[in-house]
Amino acid sequence: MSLHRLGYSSFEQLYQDHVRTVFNLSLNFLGRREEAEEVTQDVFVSVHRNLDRFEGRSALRTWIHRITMNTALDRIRSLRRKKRSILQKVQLDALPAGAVLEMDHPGVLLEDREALTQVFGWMRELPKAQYKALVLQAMEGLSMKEVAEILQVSPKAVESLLGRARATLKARQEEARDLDRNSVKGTRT
Amino acid sequence: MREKQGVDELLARVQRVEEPPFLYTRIAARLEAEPVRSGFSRIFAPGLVLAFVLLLNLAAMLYLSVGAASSGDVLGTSLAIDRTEQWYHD
Repeated sequence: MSLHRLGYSSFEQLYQDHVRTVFNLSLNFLGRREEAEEVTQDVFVSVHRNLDRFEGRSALRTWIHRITMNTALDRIRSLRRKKRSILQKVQLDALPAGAVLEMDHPGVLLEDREALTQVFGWMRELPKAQYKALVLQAMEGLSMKEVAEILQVSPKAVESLLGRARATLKARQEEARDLDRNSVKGTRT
Repeated sequence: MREKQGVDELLARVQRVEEPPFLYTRIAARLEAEPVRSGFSRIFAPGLVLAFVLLLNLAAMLYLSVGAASSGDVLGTSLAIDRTEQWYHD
């Protein structure tokens, strides 16, 4: 579909309309500003390259959300591969905890940084569909219907994905609290 | 971890931020550096690859059939036989 048919006179106009969504969504997946900038660039290059293949069956915003999520998840996969090869070369013990996946999210308050670094780590271990649904609904604030459209599933399926994701995260959070309590008890005795 | 604070509450506290400045300049530079792919080249390039692969297959088949024919002759003459029955008589 042409830019003109989408109601834009230039690609820059389309960029201005969607950049904040793309950047924030990338940031919420990656947790690092630098990586989110790279993903945002890749997303707009991809949008530009594939605009003529966009048939308008979904809203442009929905299509851009899908491209952003897929690009961000690809980035996480390649970072993991890099991390694995680094850890093979460097001794794991020599690295401080969280050195590889340190969070640099400008939207995270300083007092929440530690807790959210942990939560982001747990979220990345969720099945991909649950992870996407949770980011879109809990962080982006999208409605069930919008999430369903982006993920190309029914709203009922989104509810189920979110339920399972929340249950897993709650369990992980309780495990972490128990560990904290036990370590405090251990230091007192 | 903050006690009694659910994951949803924590996630909801993440704020939206402004996009970095000059990002579009970098994107525009990347778009300019990209080779322009016309609709014609999109069809022509895979077609060219397909034709090349078919040609390669044809050449390989020709080569193999010629090779098979000549290798039978070579085997026959090297064994000094030209009829199948000679195997049994010898």
